[in-house]
Amino acid sequence: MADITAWLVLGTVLLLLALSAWQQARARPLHRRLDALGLVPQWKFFGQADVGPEQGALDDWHVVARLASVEPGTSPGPWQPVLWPPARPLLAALWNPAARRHGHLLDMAHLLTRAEPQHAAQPTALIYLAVLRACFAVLSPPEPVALQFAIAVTRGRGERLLAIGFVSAWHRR
Amino acid sequence: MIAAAPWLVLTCRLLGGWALLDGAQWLSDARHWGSGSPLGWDLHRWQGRPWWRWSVFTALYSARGLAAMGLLQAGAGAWLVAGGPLPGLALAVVGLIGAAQALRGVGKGADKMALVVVTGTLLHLAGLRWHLPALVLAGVAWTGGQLTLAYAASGWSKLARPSWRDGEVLTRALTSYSWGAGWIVQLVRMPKLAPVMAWAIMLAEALFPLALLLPAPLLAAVLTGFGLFHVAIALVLGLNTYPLAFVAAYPATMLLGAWLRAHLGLG
Repeated sequence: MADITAWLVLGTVLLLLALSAWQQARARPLHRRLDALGLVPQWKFFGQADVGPEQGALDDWHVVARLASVEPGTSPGPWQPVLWPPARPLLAALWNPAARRHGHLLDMAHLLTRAEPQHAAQPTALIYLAVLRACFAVLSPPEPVALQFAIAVTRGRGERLLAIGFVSAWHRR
Repeated sequence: MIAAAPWLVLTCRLLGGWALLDGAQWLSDARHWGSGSPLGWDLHRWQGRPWWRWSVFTALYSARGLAAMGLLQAGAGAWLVAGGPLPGLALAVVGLIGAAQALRGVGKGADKMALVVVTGTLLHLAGLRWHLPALVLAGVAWTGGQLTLAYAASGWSKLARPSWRDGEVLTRALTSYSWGAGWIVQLVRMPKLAPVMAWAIMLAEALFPLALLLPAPLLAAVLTGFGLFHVAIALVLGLNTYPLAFVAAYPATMLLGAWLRAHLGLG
């Protein structure tokens, strides 16, 4: 009986490996509903990254925000940096606990800039709310002040090409 | 033939190192994932399935829950590094925590590979414990097979893109603030160096499956090269959990190579 079980396990492993091989050829990974644990992972490691006017995977994403009084007739304040790709010392190769958090937040900022109408972010979208929370957490505006954030996109070092990829509505805490 | 206990000990120590580092980093950063924060579960639980809103997940993915998981993972990792008894239990702890993080959807490539190695090693251990060679082979095939797929798929997907073949993607990535580092910018901007680096990476990755057929010392040399590649990536990109997670799969890959060579009559 144990032998049969072992061979069944081996068969399952080989089947999952075959599924994994098939999965590598697909443009997108399996939907998380089908593979919540990532048992059939898709390995690309920058293999999906491309360059071109529509490609943003290799650009840098910066979240900036500004504050404005809700009193009529007042102008908004200057844009202030909230989230940006952090400077990475060599020590980060040994100890880099914030990398996962920064990566997730900047990925969300990136998603907000997707131009396709079906992906246009609404103020109720989870990624929108997450970035908004980050802005409120960093700038901590007092109660009657409203906040607006934007996603700025830059490319390369030195010759930075700046574009605004997304501008939010005004929000109060 | 592929039961080789010393390789299993090495796997446990390497995986333990990964679990210790990853768990300690979670422990250090957990306070930033609490309720009300940008990545708080009170917000992100609404994106998933209805059962994500069960109180058990609310507790698990709270700042305290994540810190507790980090502590447990680091402890199990230290246990494996130290070579403590019952390594299967420590591996199961690391695996369950990895599964919980995978469900949360915050996993990276290193976490996926670590979970692959945990699963494969548990199968390997069970096969040794109950004298079931098919189970040992299942564990070795799972870990070594996924590592081979990981490298080969990365290589072929890059080869398919002209912007990888001319070095443009590598230049763009390494000169960005997100993926590059100040000290490598000058290097990657040297004439023709980026395409040479890109082709070296693509060919090494795409042809990795053939390395499984090489004699053991040569396969070990190839894997050493890939291990150094992961260290270089950690230095440039700051992806510091990748080297240990991937290198932990190398002992099983050595065993898979030996098994393949024996069964293909390659000596």
